[in-house]
Amino acid sequence: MKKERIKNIALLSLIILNVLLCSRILIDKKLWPHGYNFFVDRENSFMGQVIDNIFQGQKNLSESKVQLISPQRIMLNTGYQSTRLSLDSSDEKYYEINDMVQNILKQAMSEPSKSVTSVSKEDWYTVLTGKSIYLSYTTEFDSKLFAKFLSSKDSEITNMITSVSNVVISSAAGNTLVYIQNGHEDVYYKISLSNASTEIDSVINYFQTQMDKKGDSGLNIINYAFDLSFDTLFGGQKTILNPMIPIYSNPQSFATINAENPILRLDNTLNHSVIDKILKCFNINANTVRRYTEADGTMVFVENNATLKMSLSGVLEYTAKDGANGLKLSDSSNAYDNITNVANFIDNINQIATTERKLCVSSSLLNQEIKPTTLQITFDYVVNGMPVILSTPKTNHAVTVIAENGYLKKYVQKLRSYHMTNEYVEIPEYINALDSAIAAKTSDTSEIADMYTAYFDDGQVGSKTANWKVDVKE
Amino acid sequence: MNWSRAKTILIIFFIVINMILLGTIIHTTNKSDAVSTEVLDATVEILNSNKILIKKELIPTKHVQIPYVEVNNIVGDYNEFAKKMLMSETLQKGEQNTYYANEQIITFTADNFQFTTKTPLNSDILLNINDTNIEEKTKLILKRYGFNYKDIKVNWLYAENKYIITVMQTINGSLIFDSSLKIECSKDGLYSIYGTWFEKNTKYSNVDVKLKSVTSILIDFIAKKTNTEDIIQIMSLEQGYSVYENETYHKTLMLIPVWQITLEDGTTHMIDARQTT
Repeated sequence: MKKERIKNIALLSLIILNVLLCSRILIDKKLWPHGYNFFVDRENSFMGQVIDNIFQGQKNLSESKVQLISPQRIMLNTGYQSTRLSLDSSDEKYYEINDMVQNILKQAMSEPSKSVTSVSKEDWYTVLTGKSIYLSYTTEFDSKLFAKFLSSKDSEITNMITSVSNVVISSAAGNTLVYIQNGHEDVYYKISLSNASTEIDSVINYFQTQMDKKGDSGLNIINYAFDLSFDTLFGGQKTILNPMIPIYSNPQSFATINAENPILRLDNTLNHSVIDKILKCFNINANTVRRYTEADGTMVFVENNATLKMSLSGVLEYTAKDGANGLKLSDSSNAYDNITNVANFIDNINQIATTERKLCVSSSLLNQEIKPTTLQITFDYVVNGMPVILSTPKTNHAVTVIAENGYLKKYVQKLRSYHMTNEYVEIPEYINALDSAIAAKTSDTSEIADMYTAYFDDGQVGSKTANWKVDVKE
Repeated sequence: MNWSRAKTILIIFFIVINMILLGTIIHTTNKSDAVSTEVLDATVEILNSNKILIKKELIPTKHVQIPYVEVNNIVGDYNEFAKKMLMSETLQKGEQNTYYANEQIITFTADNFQFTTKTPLNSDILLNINDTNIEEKTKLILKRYGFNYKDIKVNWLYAENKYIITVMQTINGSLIFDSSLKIECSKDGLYSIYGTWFEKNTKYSNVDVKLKSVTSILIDFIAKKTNTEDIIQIMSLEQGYSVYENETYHKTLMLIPVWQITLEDGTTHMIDARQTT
């Protein structure tokens, strides 16, 4: 019996040793025959490809949250006096209505040029005072790019309408009508769609009913600047407003948000594992890159073609060296592919760094089709449906990208995460905010190009509140 | 079935298999760590054809893997380091990162510091310094100022009644080639210490990185030869670490594994030993 027991122990030990030796040979690269790689062989095998496709598919399910084509604000004009409803991405119904209008716009931008007619400013104003949906964008688009973002078919329409800044959708006599303001000039076009859509009226009617039930109609008095003639100079008035600026008669209050640096640990050191993953996004090998820390704690990674810096305050900065190409973002030379790839790249970094994922374009997208190989674009964070206005020594935007011929030349991002609090703060009344902005200017006459609510972030960690952002035309 | 007999057969079978596997592992490990004679000969031939002479015996025949290491600059903060070196809590600050106290002065430029004193210091340690006890005295001086004095290599020369001691650090047994301290002293005391100094970051563990073989390094060196007509002779080859760039200040940094090639005329060249792919 004792002999059998010894045999059992010996056999078991030999089997374990055998497993260890085999696994050592499989894992230790030094021991592989020249040119052989066990893991690459498994990966390239049929089953390996099947498994890889399953995981790849799951990765693609998480859609980019960088808003390239979604409007900043959707205004539902009820047609009843000045009762309007303003929706942004914090509202539940925003996405449903956005999907509907995107389909309509997709069709509109695919229409032949004979569907397009020029209309006057008065026609534009008339449709805004009736039942319609007004889409306000954060930037001005090149019309060809706008059409590509909507996946519209190629059409001559983009030769007539060269840029898109504001859009209104209405229905009349069984037709769906799309009105587009060409740039910021007083040039307007109307596109008649061949298929009738009853959705617009039913959506507006639904909201009107909801407002009436709640008794909110009085709370939703919103005038456009042109409604109150604020867009023209008369009498002693020294300031004019952009006619499309909405004027809210009721006080507004918004939740404060808490801003955090998502890659800073509790002991005020940077999260190295997140940084290593970010390095991978930029095709930088964390193990072999030359790295050092500057006096202020900024981590610097130096590669042959570029330098990447990560500061303690959460500023990520990538700069390609002079004469070098930098990270390859796109094989394509067209603006649509470049911008889409940039948006996906940003979203990838945001997911890794657990940064706020919702961003909107904050720089003009005009002329991108003319100079598609050079891309200079900025993005801002969107929280609670409103843009975040950053003001820091290094950057005034969430993300700034400069790319040339599909290669990344410069990338600057202030990594931030925002959390809503239960504390609400009432912002100054509209007219007071306007007066303050005008008083700050010394010129005799001022033109307010835009006025909207936004969060203001000075780059420090902590509580941030919303307020009016007034853009005065210089 | 006779399980006892089956077990005996299996035991013998596994003993044989395990011995074969073990033998394979040992043989392959030795082979991959070793540089074959054919490769050595071919390398020397290529170098000779490019007018670079080297004795075959100088080329190490065994590949040694050294890890990637993170180090901290001993000068973590200019002000705090100045207080430590000048041994005074109150300092006078001059221009360009210069600090004064007790007739001593310290200046910082990027990673470098230069400490000098009008009257010699530490005469208690250096009183009986001579050619035989220089290393011991150097360690005492380093210890007094809070430097790591254990893993060092000391060279010295005597000129104008002073010892000029060069101290270099070793990490994991390998020298940091472009970081050193120069100590000027005599029996009267210490006159100056200047240079750069880094200490291993104990929080960061060594990272294994694939390194090029020494023969690949020698081939890479050919590209560095500026004048194709001159004949140059390699006198030594040594593996170690490099800071790589001293023009800016580094609070922490990763040391680069390199090979230092020393030529007949005394010039040295550093070749990055990392495999980039």
